[in-house]
Amino acid sequence: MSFWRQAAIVTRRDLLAEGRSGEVWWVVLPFGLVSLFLIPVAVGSQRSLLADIGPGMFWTVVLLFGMFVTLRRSAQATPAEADVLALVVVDPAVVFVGRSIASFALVLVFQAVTAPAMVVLFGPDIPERWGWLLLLGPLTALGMAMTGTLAGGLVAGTRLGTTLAPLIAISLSFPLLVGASMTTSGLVAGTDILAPLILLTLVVVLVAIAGVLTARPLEESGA
Amino acid sequence: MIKLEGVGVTRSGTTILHDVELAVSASEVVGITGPNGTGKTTLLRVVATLLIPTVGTATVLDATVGSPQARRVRPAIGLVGHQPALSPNLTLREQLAFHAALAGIEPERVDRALKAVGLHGAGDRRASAVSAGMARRADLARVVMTKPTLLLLDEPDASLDSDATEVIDALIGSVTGRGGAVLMVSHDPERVEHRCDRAIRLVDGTLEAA
Repeated sequence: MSFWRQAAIVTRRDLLAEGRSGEVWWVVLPFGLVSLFLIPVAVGSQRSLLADIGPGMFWTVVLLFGMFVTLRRSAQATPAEADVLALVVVDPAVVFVGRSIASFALVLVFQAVTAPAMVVLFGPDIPERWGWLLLLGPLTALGMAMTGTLAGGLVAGTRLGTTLAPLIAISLSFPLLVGASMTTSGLVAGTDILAPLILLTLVVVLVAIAGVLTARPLEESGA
Repeated sequence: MIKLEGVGVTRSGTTILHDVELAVSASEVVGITGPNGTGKTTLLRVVATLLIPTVGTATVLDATVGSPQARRVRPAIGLVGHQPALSPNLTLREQLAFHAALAGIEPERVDRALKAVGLHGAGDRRASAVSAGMARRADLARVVMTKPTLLLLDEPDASLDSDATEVIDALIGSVTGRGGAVLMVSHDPERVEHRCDRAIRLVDGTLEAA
């Protein structure tokens, strides 16, 4: 069976489990929306200030809550499940890719719901080159999905896993936040976005390489 | 089929197993007994090729544990662990189908395996909604489906009623009938003696004949 077919099976299984648990839809997403709502309440009604900070706040919320999407409980295999998966001899890189694709889809959904809310609550200037946002969103989601999957793999089976995983994921995602925010600011200001976009792409590629290369050592070390 | 020579496992500075010597031949059923916390599960994970010994050599199905060859023999190993390997949000049938799809097993064997362990009517129930005994049966169904050459059982009778223990007996019979071997660990010496050709006691991380 091909690598991608196996990865698709893992993705389907993760999305099915998430669909049943509703962790993202009923817990993470509402809290993300509430946090977006709370920021204008705390800052006040200065429309120009809100418009300025809106995109940055959006990416911060996407980063923080997106990490909970990628580290959701339904995507974590128990030690017994991990053992059984290892015995099927699925390439650990397949599991990394499959889980990342599932998380990518869920982070995209998170972005798709919170982005309109941000526009309504903050009233940011819509950039003329808004089409780039259609690349920026998925690119950031992909980076976050792989970062979360990698962090989950790093702490799997450790006693402090639930505490460490978000810390590791957010630390690794920091360049994603910088890249996404700078690209958005550049689009709004009409300046060059090449540098932050390259940064973002580079981070995504590096995380992908790290995830694939560390998948097997992480599986073996979890033994 | 299994050969352990001077196997020892140390984790976080604690010695769990030491100087373990064990040989299990084809068609043999070997049981290991011992109280909780003596390293029975650790020993089983070494034999399952999932845990590389700190010292010594473990050879399973002609592959040395820790070598690249060990990964290749894994599909021939059936493991029923102490904890159910089930995702709470998926149905029993979905879990088996997921496993079958990844392992390249025909989907028709899913329902046959569920039937073989007496779960045919419960295939559409989520793992979170079944009893511990049914979860254990679902794990057994996964192993039935994969037809392993080497069967490893960790406390196989835990949570099971008398009907289900017959399922285990049948599973053991089918594995040895195909020329395979069975290694089971249990804290219950009576169960082990009833089922096994040979029983060995694990004391303080090492094996001694019972």
